[in-house]
Amino acid sequence: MKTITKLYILCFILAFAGSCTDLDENPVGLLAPEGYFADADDVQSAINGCYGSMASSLYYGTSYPVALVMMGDMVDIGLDFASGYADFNRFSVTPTNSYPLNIWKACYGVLGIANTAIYGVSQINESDGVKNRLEAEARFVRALVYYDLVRLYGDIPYLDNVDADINAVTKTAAADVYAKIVSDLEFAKEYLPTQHPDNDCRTRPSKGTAATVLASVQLTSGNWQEAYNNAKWVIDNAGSLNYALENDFQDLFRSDKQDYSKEIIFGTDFLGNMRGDNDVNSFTLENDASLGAIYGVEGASKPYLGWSMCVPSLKVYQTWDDRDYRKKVSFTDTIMYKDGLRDYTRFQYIQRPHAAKFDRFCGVRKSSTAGWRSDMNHTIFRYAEVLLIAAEAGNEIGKTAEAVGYVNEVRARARKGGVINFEGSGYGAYAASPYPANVSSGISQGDFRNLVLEERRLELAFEFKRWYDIKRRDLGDQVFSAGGLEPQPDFNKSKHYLIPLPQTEIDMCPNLKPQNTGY
Amino acid sequence: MRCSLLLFIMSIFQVQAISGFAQKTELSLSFRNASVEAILSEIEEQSRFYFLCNRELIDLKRKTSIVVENQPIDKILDEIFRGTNVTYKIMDRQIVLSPDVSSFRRDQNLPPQELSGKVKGEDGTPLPGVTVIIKGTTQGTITNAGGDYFLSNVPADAILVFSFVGMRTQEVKVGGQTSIAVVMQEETIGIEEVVAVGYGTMKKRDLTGSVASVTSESLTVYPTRDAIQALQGMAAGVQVQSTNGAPGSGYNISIRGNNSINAGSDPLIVVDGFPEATMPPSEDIQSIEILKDASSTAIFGSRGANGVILVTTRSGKTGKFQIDFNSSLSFQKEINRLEVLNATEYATYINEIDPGYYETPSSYGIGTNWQDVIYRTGQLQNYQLSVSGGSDKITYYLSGNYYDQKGIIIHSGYSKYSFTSNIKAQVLEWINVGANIFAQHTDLDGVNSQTGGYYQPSVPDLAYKFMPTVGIYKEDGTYTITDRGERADNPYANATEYSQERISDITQGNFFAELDLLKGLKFRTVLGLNSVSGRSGRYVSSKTERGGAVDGEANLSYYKHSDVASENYFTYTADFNEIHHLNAMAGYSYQSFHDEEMSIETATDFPTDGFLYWNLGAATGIPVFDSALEESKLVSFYGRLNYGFRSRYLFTFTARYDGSSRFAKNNKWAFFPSGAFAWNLMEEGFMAGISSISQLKFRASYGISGNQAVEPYQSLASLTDVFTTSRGTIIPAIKPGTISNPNLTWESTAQTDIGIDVGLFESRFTLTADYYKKITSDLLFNVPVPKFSGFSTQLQNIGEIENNGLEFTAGAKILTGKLNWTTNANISFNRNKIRRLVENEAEGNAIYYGTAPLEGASGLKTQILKEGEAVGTFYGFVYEGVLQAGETPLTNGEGVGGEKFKDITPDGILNDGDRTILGSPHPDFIWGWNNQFSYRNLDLNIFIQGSQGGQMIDYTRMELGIMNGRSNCTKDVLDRWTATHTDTDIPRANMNRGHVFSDRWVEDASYARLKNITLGYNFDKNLIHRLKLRSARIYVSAQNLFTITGYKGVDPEVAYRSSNMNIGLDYASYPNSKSVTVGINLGL
Repeated sequence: MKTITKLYILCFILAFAGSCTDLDENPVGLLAPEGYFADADDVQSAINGCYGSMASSLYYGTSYPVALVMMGDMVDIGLDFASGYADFNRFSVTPTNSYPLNIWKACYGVLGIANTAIYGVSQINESDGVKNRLEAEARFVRALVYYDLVRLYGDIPYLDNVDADINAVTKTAAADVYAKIVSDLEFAKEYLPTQHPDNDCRTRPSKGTAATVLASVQLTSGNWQEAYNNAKWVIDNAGSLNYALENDFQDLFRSDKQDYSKEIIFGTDFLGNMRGDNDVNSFTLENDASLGAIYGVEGASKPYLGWSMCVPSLKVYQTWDDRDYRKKVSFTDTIMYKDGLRDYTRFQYIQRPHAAKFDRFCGVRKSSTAGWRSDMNHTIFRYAEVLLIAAEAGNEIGKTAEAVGYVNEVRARARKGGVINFEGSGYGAYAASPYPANVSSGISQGDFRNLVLEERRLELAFEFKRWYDIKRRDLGDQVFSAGGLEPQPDFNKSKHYLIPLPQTEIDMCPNLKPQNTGY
Repeated sequence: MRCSLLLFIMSIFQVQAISGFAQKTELSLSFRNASVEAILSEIEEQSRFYFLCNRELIDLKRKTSIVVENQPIDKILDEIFRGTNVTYKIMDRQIVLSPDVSSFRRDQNLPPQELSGKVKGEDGTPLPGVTVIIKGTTQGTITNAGGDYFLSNVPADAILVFSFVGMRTQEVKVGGQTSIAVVMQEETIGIEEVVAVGYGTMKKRDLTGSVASVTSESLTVYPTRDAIQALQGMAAGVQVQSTNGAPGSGYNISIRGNNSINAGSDPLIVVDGFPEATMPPSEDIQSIEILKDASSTAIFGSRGANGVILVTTRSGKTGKFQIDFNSSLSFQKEINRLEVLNATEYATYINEIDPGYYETPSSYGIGTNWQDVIYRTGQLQNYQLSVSGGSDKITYYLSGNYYDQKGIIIHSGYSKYSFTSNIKAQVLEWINVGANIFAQHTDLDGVNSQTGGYYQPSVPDLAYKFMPTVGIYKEDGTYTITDRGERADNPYANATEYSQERISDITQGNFFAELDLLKGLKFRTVLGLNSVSGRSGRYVSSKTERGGAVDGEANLSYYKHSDVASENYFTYTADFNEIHHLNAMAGYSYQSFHDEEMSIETATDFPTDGFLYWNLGAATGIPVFDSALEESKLVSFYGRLNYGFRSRYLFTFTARYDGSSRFAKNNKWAFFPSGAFAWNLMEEGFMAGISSISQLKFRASYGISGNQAVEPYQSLASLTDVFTTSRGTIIPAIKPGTISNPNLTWESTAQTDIGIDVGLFESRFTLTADYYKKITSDLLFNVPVPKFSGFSTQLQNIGEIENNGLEFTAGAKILTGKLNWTTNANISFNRNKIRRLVENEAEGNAIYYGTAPLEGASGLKTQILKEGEAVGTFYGFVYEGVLQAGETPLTNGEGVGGEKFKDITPDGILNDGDRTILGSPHPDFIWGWNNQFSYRNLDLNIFIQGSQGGQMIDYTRMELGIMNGRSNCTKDVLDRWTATHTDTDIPRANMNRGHVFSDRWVEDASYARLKNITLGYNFDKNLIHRLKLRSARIYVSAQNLFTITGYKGVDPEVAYRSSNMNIGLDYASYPNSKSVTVGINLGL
């Protein structure tokens, strides 16, 4: 009897052991790309992923703008944290410097998301209207990122779908990249809404945004007529696009006024003191705005410390007319220390006025680390630049008189003065001033060309625009000469208008050869 | 594979079914000219009977024959012992064999003054029936009911032999005494030392693999947070290292070096058969076995590569009800301090950098000694109460433990409650069932430590670096904050205004049934449930620098881990003619893991600090929410075959076939085989005459085991979320996260082991030596892919590392008289080397990485992974002292008075090419030496442990030595270079100095530490019996009393950011403590 019981038990045990087990994984909370895209919201999430990734420290958060301002003549190196940024300032960047790789990586990371979103559009079941709008937004992002890449590196791999065989990819000539950028932007201009449906959100594109970037792309390419046309289209439609200049220049650089500013056409959104995940490296975070800290005054006690890393040369400050309200907004020349207010000659580390635009009113920020992760959005395009593009391009096609008017609009706003009132800093309210005066109407085309570039330099000071002006107008030999604002004897225009392709990318993918000239 | 295994099991079943079953008390035996021992062990196999006997009095080697069919046990025993002087006594399942006492002369009428005495057991009760004989004669007697004996005509130089079943035989010299009292000590004679191996036990003498055993006595020598800590220095090849001195901090354990670079090196912990379980407190552990070589670990397959720790918890014993109470109280002080500048010295130094910053440095006096502010006397209490016992059918062990620690830094503490209960019951003659249940609750009240720089200032970090010129509070009552460098609160504020609590609950249950199926065939099934949950909360008060900026900051997170395991295996033993011994095991297991977590981070803007993290709804700053789920499964088939030829040649073969959901779809199943051979030379005829050698065994093994380094879902392509905001709101956003790798698999380690076990003079001296070589291949690496693909890396199996080493364990009973001295020592040498590395982008074939947490040191590379070097090798510049006037500074280097580095590529420029290997964190050897002395009622334990030849990066001193005016400095900067004091190695103060990593901050971390010294006193039996106690002992001990080291930091026994790639790093650790303990052990 017992033997039989034991036999039953044994059989039961063996039956249990033989039962099948499924070893497939079913991750919940982690999405696989196939099968994810079901509706418009899913695609929108992927497009949003582009914005979040652009707002990472490797791209618009820190690395990209810092590399640009370092190469420009408006900002010199202050404290050098041996991070590789100073090489941009001194034109000694090598293919193994980490920033050409980091920026490249960040840009192509965003492109990967944009292409995934475009793939997503093909997967969803929505009306053509919805699909076109989504595709337009994704293509806008793609164009903007390629515009950054092509200006920095020249000929680059151009990928526009998710199925590309990476090992077979070759470089696309810069001119062809520009053509693809224009094509994407024209599609975007056609299918994006006139105002962003989310209460005219300024960090998401609309028709006006696409037209603005198109104007900038054409300006860079020297297609003056196209540049003028697009800028003019934005100016003519400013009402319906809801664009206008801010009254007080300082308000453009107050984190609490940026979100609804009519002047801001496009920027990256940051939320203060918050961080995204980055398991790999806690120094490369999403939502990581550090320009405030990088420009800020190291050692100052009020309101926050900074790193004194990107500090204008003294000449930039000294050559700027004191009567210009924009100078007040752009510089910190006095600041509170533990022992009271000090002027820049007594700054603890770098005895030069520091840039103030991104630091002074950057809102909530991470206090214990000198104020990075600030609330300050990084503006990429604003309406004043559209006016200046129209002016510059208009002048080139013979419409100098009209162009003068655009510059005067920008100057008129500067003359209004405004209220800074930065607690304890000596910066208060500034009455309207006659400076900068209107440009006289009889100015020659040649003089105006220089004037508008100078106007861009001051109006857009420290806003990471200057380097591309130097590059597209070939001003390098002039501005980095001994008489320039920031002499850089190592500057070589046949080499330095492009940064090197990352060495590791060439090593891994020989199709990328040759390296950019001179590197 | 699965089918063939089933067939194998079925065939065993069929063969045995023919041979028939034994009846409950009736047995069938058929032996021809076999030893008594073989017959008895066959009876043990067939029934639940077991035998106890004194091998010295019973001739078990005697050959006899017996053929019986369905006979009761008494008939069989009568048959076996017919014609001998052996009698037996059957007590339930226990059969005691003893010589017939009638063969002794028994005369109690002789004058008692000749020689008399009393024999007692360990618990003080008189023992009747103890055999007392005069050695070398047949003269003897037996103790009476009161344990008394009387002997006459005893020669003055005679030796008395006291023996009793279940007790160790004792020999006592008469030496003219007329009265000799003896306390008999328990010993289960005839039962050899048995050690746990995976899925079963083995006689130690039959082991073919490398297994270290640690007894419960060693684990409870001094109070420990858990048994891992207690393993430190106790076993060769096992490195246990404290990671941080904070209450509740963990210990790192690695066995025979680190097998991986990116995956973990933690061994698999198996508690009472439950893999990946939590160890109960040391007091509840019966023994720990550490499986080291592949022959032992391969049975655990894809989890065995890092070694296996088998924990057996205590259980009750039949018929012995006992209560034990253990308690200790320790007082603790920080093990060491760092001397930093006082206020005057600090102000003078700052003024060198920033003239006039302090008006009159001397007016600040000594200032605030921040280490005085944060340190206090810590206190540790430990209580354990256990009740155990059993009847013939049921045994039980119940224990409760309470551990409470008040940290040596203010506002830090840790407490732990746990319960262990083990029950085993015989429900049918052939079925035993039981349960092992463990529950634990811990509560950690922490302070920040081992963090700093940009991340988060911590209390020890600030205690060194914070300016001594101010006090805790400013005049307005708010906390002082740094006025230079990163803005940070003072250490007092950091310790008191961060509320950080972490609680965890563990419930672990194991339910098993053991079935005696057929002759020699048993089946055991275990069902285990394990649940671990925890909660962490942190609130940073608005009074701090960090919390003040955001009106308070709160984080709260929860996690829950649960797993279910089912282990089912058969064991079959057979013995053929005493020549061939066979032991086979085959089984199946299933384990599933479920991990979920939820966190709410960075809730800010609170109306009050009073809510802590318990009213997150009151925060107006939007927190980040996150949650995650991970599930995985492991299905395994395993088997082991032990074959012994006359106990002389021993063979072991194991195999495991693991299927894991974590592996990629093309590699779901993995096979792990091993084989071992051992040669017991003592069983060879030619060794018979050599009496001085009591054990001599050679062992050799080879096998493959794995490291299940792949995390769930790691082989899949995924989309992950991106932190994206729009006008202050977080919006949904995703991006492609990882590229899939359908071939991703485990890291596998092939290990060869050659060992020898030697015992001399009845095992008074023992030595075990092992050589091993391990090669781990298929190491997981994030292999770079072209970045324009949109991805950075893909996880692939690439890379190979090697560990080889030597281990020695020696034991000796140096003194065995009244003064008893037992010593055990072990020493282990391990060499770690990278054999193959992933082709790395910029850096050739080496990977440079950095771990410096210091302000201004982000991106600073301090370590290297390079083929031919050990994992975690230090890499940087070579410091050559201070650049003196007249010397030419290097381009990019400092000027006169600054740090001077060797220009290794002599081009006059200080650049990356001038870096070199600066040292290795791997020790040349680690060792432990444990000594146990006893004299009368006193016992003394001295335990010394050490590590030799490893180096350490002292980031703490690196931070304090930079002298760029951002923090206080260590006292040695008083010797800094100045225009008038140039003959020094310490550079001048320089505001613009950035961190350069050089050998200036790499130090020898060798140490030898008196880990424990305990003096115990056992109360006299007579005294405690009057108090109705079984035993009572009090002791006083000291831990970490002194350390011999040349290390200049606080303590060489720390591990900042401990992992395979990051070893030998020291930064702002919560100091380990020195402690003095008083304790009591009571038995009832």
